[in-house]
Formats: sequence, C-alpha cells, structure tokens
Amino acid sequence: MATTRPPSGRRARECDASCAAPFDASAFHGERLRLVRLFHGMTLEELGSRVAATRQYIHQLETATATAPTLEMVDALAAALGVLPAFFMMPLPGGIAPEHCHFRKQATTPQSIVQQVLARGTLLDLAVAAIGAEVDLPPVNFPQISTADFREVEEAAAACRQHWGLGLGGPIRSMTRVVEGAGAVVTHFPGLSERVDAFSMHRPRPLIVRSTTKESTVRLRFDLAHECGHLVMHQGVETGDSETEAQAHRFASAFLLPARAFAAEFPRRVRYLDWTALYALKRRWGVSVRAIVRRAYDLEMIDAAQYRTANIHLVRAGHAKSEPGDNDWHWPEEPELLLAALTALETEMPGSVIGLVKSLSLGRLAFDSLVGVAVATPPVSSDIAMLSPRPPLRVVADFQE
Amino acid sequence: MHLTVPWDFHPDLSEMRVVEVAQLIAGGRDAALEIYDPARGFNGWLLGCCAYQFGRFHIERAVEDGTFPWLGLVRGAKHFIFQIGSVPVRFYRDDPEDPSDKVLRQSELEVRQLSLALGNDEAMDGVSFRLVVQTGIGGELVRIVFLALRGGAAILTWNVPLRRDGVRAPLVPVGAAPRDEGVALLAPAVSVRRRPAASSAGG
Repeated sequence: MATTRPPSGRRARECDASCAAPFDASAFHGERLRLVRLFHGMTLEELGSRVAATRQYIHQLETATATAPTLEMVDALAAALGVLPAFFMMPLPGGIAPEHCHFRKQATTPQSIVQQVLARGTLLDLAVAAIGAEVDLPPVNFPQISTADFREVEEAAAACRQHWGLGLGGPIRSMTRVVEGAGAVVTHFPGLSERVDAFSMHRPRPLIVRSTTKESTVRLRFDLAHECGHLVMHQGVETGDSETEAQAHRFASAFLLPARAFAAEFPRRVRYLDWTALYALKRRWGVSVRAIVRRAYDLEMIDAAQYRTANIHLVRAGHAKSEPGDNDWHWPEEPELLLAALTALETEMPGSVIGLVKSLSLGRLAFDSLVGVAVATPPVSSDIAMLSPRPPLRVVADFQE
Repeated sequence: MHLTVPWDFHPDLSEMRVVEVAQLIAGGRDAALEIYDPARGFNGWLLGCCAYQFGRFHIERAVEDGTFPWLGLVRGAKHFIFQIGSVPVRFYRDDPEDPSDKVLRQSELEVRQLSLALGNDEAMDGVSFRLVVQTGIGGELVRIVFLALRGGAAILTWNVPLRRDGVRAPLVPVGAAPRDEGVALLAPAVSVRRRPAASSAGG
C-alpha cells in the first residue's frame, strides 16, 4: 500500500470557514476527487506530482481502497484542484453516465476525453441545480417524440416548431434561444469541446455543449438543432450510431428548413444549380449551402447526380468545412441563460454568486470555467483567495434585439 | 401627318369601339380577381392566366353573340387576334410605357390582315395595334392603353377612357405572400426566487 507523503513545502492551513465542521476523514468521498481531477483533465500521475503522492495512492483515494487521507492531504488536493476541502466531504448525487450523453463520435472518442466530458457534465449539472435552487429558470419543455423513420423525424421537427410557436414558414432566428427557452442550458467546455464536437446530455435540465472550434455561426446553429433532435427523440436511447445520428441530422435539417417553405424557395433549375440563389437561401435561413443541398436531395428536389456534383463543387472550392458568409447572421447565437440567471441573482442579492460558489465548494475560477460565464461580483475578503482569482469581469453576452 | 388618337390611323378604330373592347378585357381581369384565392393555390401567375383567358372569352362571346357587329376574330392565328372593324388588334398585360418584345412582335397573319385593312398607305406601313393592360401590385387593373407600334416603338399611346366605378382591387393580396421572417424569441426569462424572510421571533 502506498504511503502518504505530505506535500513538501506546503503551508499548513486550517480548514476554511466553509469547512467549519470538525474534519472527519471518513467522510472523504473518493469519487469526488476523481470527478474534479477529470474535470481538470489531469492524470493520476499529474495530480500525484502536485501533492507529492504516488499515482497509486491517488487511485486508492479515488476508489476508497486507501485509508482516509489526512487533513493536510485533503488540503493539498483541494489546492491543487481549485476546490475547497469541503468539496470532498459531500456525497455525490448520481453522476452522468455515457448513456446520458449524445456524442456524435462516441465510438471514436478516446476514453480519457469521454471521462473528462462526463466529469465536466456532472459538475455542470450540480452547478445548474444549485443555480436553479436560487433562480427560476425556464421550465424544461422538450417534447418527447419517438421516431421510427425519416417521415416521423420530419413530423417531429414540425411538431416541435409548432409546439414552441415558431411556425413552419420562416427561419429560426436564434437556435440558442429556442433551446434555452425550452429550458436547456447551453455552454461550451473550453479545450474539450473541440475534441468531441457538440453534444448534449439528458438531465433534469438538459445540457447542450457547443463546439468552439467551428468558427461558423450557421454550422453552430445546425449543431444546436442536431442536439435538440437528440433531446426530443432519443431520451433513454443510446446514440452515437449511424442511425440515431442520421435521425438527429434529419431533425436539424427539417427543423431549420421546414419542407414546404423550403420547397417553395429552393431555386429550381433543370440543368444546373443556381449557386447565387443557394447563397441567398443560406443568408435567409442561416443554414450552410452544404446543408441546403443535402436538404434538397433528401426532399428529392435534386437527384443523386446533382447532389454529388454539388458536393464536388463545394469541396473543390474549399467550402467543405467553411463557406463564405458563415457568420453573416443577424440574430444572437450566444448562450444567455446562465449569464442572465447569475446576473439576476447578483443584482437582487449582491454577494450571492460567491455564496453559490461556496455552497458548491468550488473555486471561483473553476466555477466560471464550468458555467462558461463570469459575473462581476463585489470584491471579497475571502479567506480563500481562489474564490476570486481574477478581477471582476466581463459580460460575455448581453444581446438585446 | 400627326396621329394622336386611334381613329387617326383607321376610322374603324373609333373611340366607342376601342372603349367597348377595353371594357370586355377589363371585365375579364375583374372576374379573375373575384375568384382569386391564394388559399386554394392561386398565385400571380395563375391570376394573369385567368385574367387573360377571361378577357379573351368575353371578346369571343361578344363576337359569337353578335353583341358588337363590328367585332370579329382572326381565325387560324397562333395567337389571339381580334378585329375592330377590319383592323386586327391584340391585347396583353404589360407596361405601356416600355412595351416588351411580346407586345412588339407581329405574327405573319396579323401583318397580312393589317395590310388588307390599311392598304398601301406608306404612312401606315409596319404599324400594328395593341391594347395593353397595366396592373397594380395587387393585380388590379390600373388602366388600358391603346398602342400603335412601328419599328419596335410606340408611335401612339392613348389611354382608353374606361367606364369604371372606383377601383376594383383584390380582396386578398396577390402574388407571393409576405415573406415569413421567422419568430423573434425573447431572451430566456429568469427570476430570483423570493425566500420567506426568516422569522426573528423565538419560540
């Protein structure tokens, strides 16, 4: 069994105010240690080296096969991971399991990344639940519709548009507002989203994690609609296979480009595709030309040869991944819900965001990173410097129509 | 010779006759507007087809009924050509100030009929006649203009003094419906939960 080596050079610290209760080492929850380690993307070895312990010992702490850590070790782990020592002393409600997530590339995503995503999702879920205890958020309102074929997927997309009062004749101005209005939390995981593309998680309050690498608003909108499709059609269904992904894609396509309105506006030419008109359609509907061409093919408005030719043209023109006008969209597509909730909370009861962070036993930096927004809070003379490790702050998005 | 009215070109093209024919054409457009219903699939194109066909039908019926003895049809033409007296005339919906090719174009049969009507008068060489219907954005009739054309240009533009009471406009919008620009959603609404104030009174 590995021995505990006290972190060298560590300054002795008393447990902070939020950990005022007498330290009870037996209350240490190893799964929380694993959770926050994965949240930071640290390996056992990396964490071990930060607290002068072996990777085996850290593993034993996580799996509760080691004796309870000393107060000093708990302190060191908390400092290394940007949380309060009390963080390890709280039971962990049900974490997010792979089946709760809709990854587009789940089969090919490295397990280490998947674990990190799940850890972040679990912590975000805790944070959102804590915010939801203080602030009334929009009620979760995603219709649950099971679909067997593409015809039913089309119907589901149309039903959702009607359900949310969006009609069937015009573009979706803000896909982010659609899903946030339906109660989902939209965020991104810096440094991680890039590796897994957009994904969503079925939780009491659904989470949608958007990709940040795609510097394309129209593709971001499609991603959000795709995840919306999963949340509508695939609750309790294991996704990531070609069938469910194709369904979510078709849902996104049908949701953003309703069949009848699209058919009325798609430029019909007998012998060629009218690219100028297609780009005009892109500007109107906020959907990439590539997706528009695919929609036309799905609706049998162009044949397979035309579809193939169009894709060859797009690839040769260098527009396979990004196209001209990808960001020419006038409506907001920045997440607003968490920022609005935290701002309202801080405005109504100054200092309450800090209290919220404390209640989660997280460091401020970790909290801001987790929720993807940062709200200016009054300066704190907290005994825990990490609660406010950076100056008061920026507004990430505050769009008014 | 300065030609300022239709009957300057030919005495058969009297004001009364031109007005009567224009009334028939206007009646066709009014009839089309009466049945115009986008909810049943009508669009601007179909309205135009109906208005033309109804106008043509009114002229044909007037000929068959003998309503106007001076009104006739040029049989065997590819396009619809009627005769006011001996003068062949065609009608179109177009901009009378800038007639398009379809208005300017002459058919062989029309040229032959015109040469018969106008004789060998050099002043009339190459002249043809049109009644051009100008419509508003709603498809309603704005005016009917008598055009005399030669060499691809109008040499006479004469507003037909129609007998009409007010303006007949469609009851519903004509043409493409106003474009649906999507629904503007508000930012998600949040509100801080009010907590009951803690009671300061002890047991």
